[in-house]
Amino acid sequence: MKLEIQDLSVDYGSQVAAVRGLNLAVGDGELVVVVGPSGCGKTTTLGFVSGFIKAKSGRVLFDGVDVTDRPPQQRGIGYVFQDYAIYPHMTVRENIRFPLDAAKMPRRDAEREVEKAAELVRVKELLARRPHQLSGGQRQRVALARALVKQPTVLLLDEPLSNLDAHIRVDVRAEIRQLQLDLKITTIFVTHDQAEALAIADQVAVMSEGRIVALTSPAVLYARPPSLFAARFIGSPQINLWAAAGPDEALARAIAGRIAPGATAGLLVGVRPEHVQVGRGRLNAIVGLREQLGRDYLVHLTVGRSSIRALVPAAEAAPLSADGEVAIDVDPVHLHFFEADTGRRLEINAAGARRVEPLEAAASVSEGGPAT
Amino acid sequence: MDLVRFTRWQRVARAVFIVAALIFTLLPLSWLISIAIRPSGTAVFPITLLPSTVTLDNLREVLVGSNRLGFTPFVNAALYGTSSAVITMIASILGGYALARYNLRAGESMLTVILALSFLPAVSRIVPIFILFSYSGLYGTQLGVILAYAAGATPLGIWLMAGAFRQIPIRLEQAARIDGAGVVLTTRRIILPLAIPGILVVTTLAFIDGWNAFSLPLILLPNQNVQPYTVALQKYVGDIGFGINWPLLAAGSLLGLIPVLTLFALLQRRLVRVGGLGGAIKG
Repeated sequence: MKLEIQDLSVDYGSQVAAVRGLNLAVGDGELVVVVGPSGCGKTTTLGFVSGFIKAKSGRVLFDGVDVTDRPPQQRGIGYVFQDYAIYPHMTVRENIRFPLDAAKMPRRDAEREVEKAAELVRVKELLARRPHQLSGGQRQRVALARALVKQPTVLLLDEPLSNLDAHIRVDVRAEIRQLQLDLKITTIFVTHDQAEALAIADQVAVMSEGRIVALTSPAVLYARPPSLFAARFIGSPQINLWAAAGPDEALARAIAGRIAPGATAGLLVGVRPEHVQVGRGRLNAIVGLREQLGRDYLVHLTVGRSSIRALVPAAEAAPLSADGEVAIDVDPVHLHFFEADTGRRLEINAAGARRVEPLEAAASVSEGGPAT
Repeated sequence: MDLVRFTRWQRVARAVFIVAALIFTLLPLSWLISIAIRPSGTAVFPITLLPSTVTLDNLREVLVGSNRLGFTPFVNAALYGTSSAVITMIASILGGYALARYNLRAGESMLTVILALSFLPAVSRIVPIFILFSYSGLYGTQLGVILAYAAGATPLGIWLMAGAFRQIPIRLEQAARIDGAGVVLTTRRIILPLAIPGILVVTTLAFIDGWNAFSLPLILLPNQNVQPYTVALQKYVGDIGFGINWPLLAAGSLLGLIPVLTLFALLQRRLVRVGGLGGAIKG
């Protein structure tokens, strides 16, 4: 099932976040993660696809068929809510069977499908339990089974992992992705967690203030973020960004000078922390706070009045002492340029020619992958 | 463990207060029972809590004796109570749901007005209802009193049901829609089962209201055959003469109390829980 959202606009006025002129296409069997800060309109978009939210304008198409005017119960969608919304007065079995009862499937067949779905998400031994006897992770699985049992046209997942404990979140997200791949079900997964988005998506749609500000594969999104917002939002620790004019001017010129000699006002220079080369280079930096993040250290550096975040392997971080000096540099291939006013990515070649990148970068441009 | 720790004196004060409250509520009831089971015509003053002779003759006399009140007034009261409870329940579910879920323009102020209406005493409605019924031909009819009772109980019912429905997460209704259920199935399988505690409270209160009603049927039902026990009892005690026969009056009142007490005993736990409906729909 191919899912298309065309020209969706939802107004303030209602109690939901606004969406402005959103277009999104999800290919058959594809998993698109819609990621963005709270209030960016991502849940509103799901509400529109499921039929709960009436839009000012816009259409939803399932396999080219306009379903905009169909009520939710006639769209055949599977939906996992953030708080699961399991029926508290029914057993797990009754919960999972409910969509089949609603479809008037004969009891025998329904029971068989329930068993299958329960097996798929590994809750078969919980079928007789009531929701209040389940853990958060188990409820989540039941909600997933209920969404999958009717073999939905599309699967919508609204922050399905956000109510789970951190240590099981990574496991469950892998299970969901594996299940989605096995069932080849067209899926939209909404989250505010950029790491989650990168981990499981075929395509990531980054949303900000009701608009999609980047739509591409996780690899491209990380390696060549198509917009300033996406560059800031994706990646932890956050990307370093310096305006070519202003207090960071000296540093921006020193780092990007060779490739963008005419670096002028209105341009932002960005470098991911892991691409700051520490220990050798043309620039002298003062070492500040060091935070151990596990395998690596996040080292806070300053050059003049500008600050730099650098991700440094533990072995290389060991000799760095607070307030000491260290040489740093950045390989020009790791530089990102953005227009400050539009937030669009700029490609600047060695000759200084500039080109504005489209927000929807082709997934095949670079498969460099994150954290190279 | 208690949330609050009391000092010894606070605990003593609490115990005294509870005992006083119990005496205040239970003493009249005990005295009523005590009077009802002493022989007819026995003096009731000076007050003695324990009668010298115990007999069930009064109860028998009221129901089947030669000077009987009979079963009819009780059956009438039950009929009016039950019918008005059913009407109130349906009206309250519909009205309460609309106020809880639809974004009505004056929803909140409507709820306030409805709550205020439910505080109006029955007597205040008698005159307008009397006039209305005289013109519409409902005066003296059983349907008339049933409607009058239901009209009295519905405001509080709607208010309570609106609260009960608001406790049900709207997410569950959305989930049901997603699962392919239309309005009817969502209502039957999701909303109503979760609203049962509230529905029980509203229906019980409406029944008790109807069962105990006195002033409305006194005015609206001149025909003895259709009067409920409350009205009939008053006339009965006057009719059998000798001043007021207290033991017989007490026996009749006691018979009227039994269904109410039984209902409360059966539903006690659920009724208390509605105060914090959250426990009923955990999850």
